Parts: sequence; C-alpha cells; structure tokens
Amino acid sequence: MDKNKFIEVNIDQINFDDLSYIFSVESDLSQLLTSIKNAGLINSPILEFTSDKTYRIVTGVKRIKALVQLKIKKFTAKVFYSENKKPTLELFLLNLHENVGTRELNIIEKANVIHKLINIFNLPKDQVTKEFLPLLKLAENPQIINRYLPLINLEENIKKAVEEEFISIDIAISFMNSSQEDRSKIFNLFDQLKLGKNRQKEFLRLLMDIKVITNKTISFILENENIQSIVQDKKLTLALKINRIKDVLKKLRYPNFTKIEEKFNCLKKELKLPPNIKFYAPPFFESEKYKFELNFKNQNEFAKLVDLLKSVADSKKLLNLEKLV
Amino acid sequence: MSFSPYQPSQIFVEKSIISHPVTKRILRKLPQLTPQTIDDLSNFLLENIPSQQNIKPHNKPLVLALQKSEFFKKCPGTQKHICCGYQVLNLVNNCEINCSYCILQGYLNSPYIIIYVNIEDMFSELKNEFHNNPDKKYRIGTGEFADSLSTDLLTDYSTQLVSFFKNYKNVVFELKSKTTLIDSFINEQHNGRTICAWSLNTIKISKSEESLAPSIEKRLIAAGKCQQAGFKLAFHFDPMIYYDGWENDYKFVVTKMLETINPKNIIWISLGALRYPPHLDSIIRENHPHSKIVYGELFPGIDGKMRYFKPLRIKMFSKMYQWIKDIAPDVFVYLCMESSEVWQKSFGWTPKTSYGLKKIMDDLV
Repeated sequence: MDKNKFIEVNIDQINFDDLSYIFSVESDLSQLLTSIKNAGLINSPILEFTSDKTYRIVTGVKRIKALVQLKIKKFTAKVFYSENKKPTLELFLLNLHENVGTRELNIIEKANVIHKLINIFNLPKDQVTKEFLPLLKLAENPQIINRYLPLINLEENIKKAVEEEFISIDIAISFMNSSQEDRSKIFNLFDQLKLGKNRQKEFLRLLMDIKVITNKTISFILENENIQSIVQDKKLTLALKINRIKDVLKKLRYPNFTKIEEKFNCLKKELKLPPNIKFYAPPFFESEKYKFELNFKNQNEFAKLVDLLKSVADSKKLLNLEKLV
Repeated sequence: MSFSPYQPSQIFVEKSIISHPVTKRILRKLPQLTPQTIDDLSNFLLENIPSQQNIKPHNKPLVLALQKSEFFKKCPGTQKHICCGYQVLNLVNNCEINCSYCILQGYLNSPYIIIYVNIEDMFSELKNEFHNNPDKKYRIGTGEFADSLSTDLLTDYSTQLVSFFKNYKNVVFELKSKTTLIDSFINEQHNGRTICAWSLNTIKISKSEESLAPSIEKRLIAAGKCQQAGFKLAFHFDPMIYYDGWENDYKFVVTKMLETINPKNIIWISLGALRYPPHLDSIIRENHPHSKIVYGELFPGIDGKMRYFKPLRIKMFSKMYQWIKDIAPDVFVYLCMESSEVWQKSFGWTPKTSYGLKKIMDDLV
C-alpha cells in the first residue's frame, strides 16, 4: 500500500459501482443529512485511488451518499494510492475494524464480511473461522460460515427483513431451499400477516411439508382460493386471518385429523353448551377420554350446569363420539 | 444400493480385551485394518465423535469392548401401552443398515458399531437366570439395539447362541434381522428353541427406506431356507408406513410371505406402525432428506412418541390382520406398543394388559 494523504476529491470521480470494501447495508440517511447540513462533514471518508484514475470507497459510504443527496460536489477525504485495480485485504480490514470497533454488525453485514473475506480476498475458511468469526461476535465454528454465506444471495427485501430481525436467520436459511418465486410468496404472506418468528416457523414447516406431500410449489399452495380470500378479507383482524390460514394449512397437511376434528366441533356445536361448560376432545384423539370443564360460583349455578349435562346425556348425542375415531 | 456385509473402516479395541479370543477372531477377519487400542469405551465415545456425514453407514468404525453391565434386560417397551414382555440381550450396539426410520439414530449418538466380546459372561448370566427361575418362560432376542445378524460374519455369535439356547425348553431365542446371513448357524442343532425372524415391509418402502438391506424377496428366500432347516419363524411388519397404495403393497407382501412359508412354522407375526420420539423427526429429515416418512399424519401419543393418527393405525392393523388371518387363521398376530383400544378396534379382541399379552405369548414358547 502506498502512502496516504488528505486531499479534496470531486464526487464525480468516485466509482459507485465498485463496493469491494463495503459490507454495510443501505439505511436511512435522514439523520446523517441533518448532521452534515448543520455541522459539515466531521469525519473524512477514506478512499482508494486506483490505477483507472477513479476512487474506490473504503469507509464512509453513507457519508458520501449523503453528500450526493445534498448535491455537495467536493469534500476532503483520506486517500490511499494503489498501483493496481484489485482491492486489497488491508483496506477492507481497515473498514471492518472501524465498524466493529464502534457497533455490532447486523446479520446481513456479517454475511457480507464472511463472503468478501472468502470470495474476494480468498482467505481460507479455517482462517476466517479462527480470526474473523470472533471479531464478528460469532462462535468459532466452521458451520457458522455455511449458515451465513447463503444469506448474501437472498433478495434485497428479505435481507432487509433479516437485518431488521423481522425474520430469523434460520427462516432465512430455510428460504434458500425454495425457489425465488416461492420465497417471495412466503415472505409476502409473512409480511402481510405480520407474523411473529414462532408463527413464521410454524407456517414455513407446514408449507414445506405440504409442498412435499402434494408435489406442488409453495406459490401454487398459496394461490389456494381459501387462503387468498382470507388474506384479502378486509373485515378480518390480523389475528383471525392468521388462525384461519393456519386452519387451511393444517387441513392440507393433516387431512384425516382435521376431518375428525371438524366432526367433533360440529357435535360440540350441536350440544349448545353455555360458555361456562367447556368440552374437550383428547389431544389428537389419541386417548379415549373426553373432558367437560365446569365453571360456577355457587350451588345454584352448579345445579343448573348439572341439569344441562343431564339433558346432554339424555339426548344421547354423545353416542356419536364412539363413531368419531 | 444393495446389501453387502458390514465392512468397518476402522477398528478400536479396549485394551483389557485385546487378547480375548473373540477379539482375536474378529481381528483375523479384518487383516486390512490396524487396530487402535483405547482405554475405555465410555471415555472413548465421549472424546471421539467423528462427523457422521463423512462415514458411509456401511463402513461405520467398529469398537470391540467389554460389556461391564448386564447383557440381559427387559425390552424398554413404552409407557401406557400394551407390551409383550420380551427380553433383550445387549451384545451389539448400533447398526449399519441405515434405515430411515431407525430409532437407534435417536438413542445412540455415536457412529460406532460396538461389539461386546465377553459373550462367555453373557452365557454365565443367562445360565444363572435360568437356573434361578426354572419354571419361568422366556422370550429373548438380540435384535433390539442392533440387527441380530448383520455383524455375524465377524462375530459368529449366532452359532454360539443357537447352540446355547437349544438346551433350554422354557426359553425361545429370536434372531431378528433384515439380512440373509444365515449360513453360519443354519446347520446347527437348535431343538426348536431358536426363532428366525425377519422384519418385512412393502417392496416400495424396502427400496426407499431400507436401501442398504437385502430385498424382501431375498429375506423370504432366507426364511424359506431356515424353514427347511426346521427353525420356527417370525415376521415383524414394523414399522408399517402409510402411503398412497399401501393396501395393495402390504397385501402383496403378506401373500408372498404366506406362499413361501407354511403358516404352521410361524410362531408369531407382529404389526407396528411408524413411531418415534419427537426429536427423531429432525434427525430423520437431516439424515434421510429423500425419505417421506416424516410427512405422514403423525401426532404425539400418550407416551409422547409420534404416531400415525389413531384411525389410520386402526385401519392399517385391521386390514393386515384380516389379510393374514384369511390365509393363516391360526397364526398368532400381535401389536407392538399399542393401546387396548387399538387392539380391540383393529383385531376385535384385546389382551387388555401387558401381562395378558405376555401370558399368551409365553404359552407359545
């Protein structure tokens, strides 16, 4: 690396297509814009002047983008001079250390760092595991590399969701097993329903299983008329939509079970029980024992409930339970 | 892929049994391998966990060790279900056949096949047990934590076991296998005390989920040879797998089995549907990504194990029972790890309790 100096740089000479040293992700610049407007550029970005007479950004990409938005044409930068065009590990590490020294990188930034160290700067995976994973606050385990690397191929909106922790890294990795069309449809569903991470996991497992069982794509499954009508129903709350879509998916995943469950629910409805009598089927209908639960506050209420149960027994409707399973 | 006998990639020997005759015999059969001495099996297993992904199932490393605890145990069975009171001999641990549904994937967190060489201690233990309980009936097998025959070319245990059990009239010993490795014991005198048993499934499931095991046809040919040699036979349709077309496929195998084997020579047939502890689900998905068995309608049962939705199990068992009984009305058929309700609804009768089933089966001994 040649020596460096502070010089005034014309913003038009910066090669914005070459982001070899950059791992941070696009973010909101509004605070930075206000800061530069009021106080000017406090810290100078670092650039590399390359053999093709353009500048490659080493650090300060957000500051430079803010300058572009503010239509500021010239600024002072610390410039390194390079005799060839290839980016150097030394300058990449300069950017990396500047960032990890002041904040924790988000998941996508960590994935970008790992990707660049291995695929641009050609470091062996062993070295990345030992030297850089701890720096990124990740466990010193080669499997971590395999977990993070696929993330860089995700679509931008999904990466953004990972960064914002709307979807977990595990869900993001599972997405990589689906086609682009499928993951886009799944992500849209998650987004529309504002699903929490546990629900996402549950829905994704159901969708993946239904895909194998039916041999249809997830996009096709999500085109299901029932699902679409629930998603588009403006009268339904999000919670109701989530429950109803889950029911549709369960029906596709467990058709025999849901059929019996529906029969049980019909029977329960026929009994016209008041809210203080709950009637439960055994979990998954595995045992033979059904359960009534009574809530009452005094002798009088209790007697009424018992009378009601007596009338249920007299109606012999519960004989149908024997035909259920 | 097709079946070929177990060929370990490495061999480890506990130093205390390096001179044991069984150790020497096994080492002689594996001249291409240099044995590595280890101090103690438990510590070795804790300290040496090679990545399973790098080892072909068929070449799992072998450990020769001393069985320090009892060989003879009750079959673990399962809670709140009817179990038959079978007893197991823990002579070999783990299996290389690599069936997708294998419960050992969840029990044994180790890629090693472990052979206990001190078979003489096992015989002493059994002699003592039988001597102290001369009127008790025993049904004993080696097929719980391993395939009874898959390592037999190395150990020759089957010959010794058949020969040992021939002297006990109150005991039957079951060799339960998917292999066809019968040559070593088929000419042994057995006095009807050894049962040769095979796990059977449909041809489709055998190809997709038991790809390293011999075909169903070959298993039945081996069973036929054992029949010729006068052995009693047993068959285990376990785990039955539910899929589109299962009915025709299972009926075909039942028919084929009863065409090959005279029902009079079959002591029992067991039926069991796919079941596994919940944590095995992700292990199966990981170890056998092409398997579709986890996509069945499986739910946690009363014992916590994942099982097919009860009406599906009842349908499978009742049809199988009918197909078997249509051809072989006198053969005893039992369910493995099911409730009295499932027995009643599938077979039209129930032994009600584990004791009830044990008594019926003991009377067959």
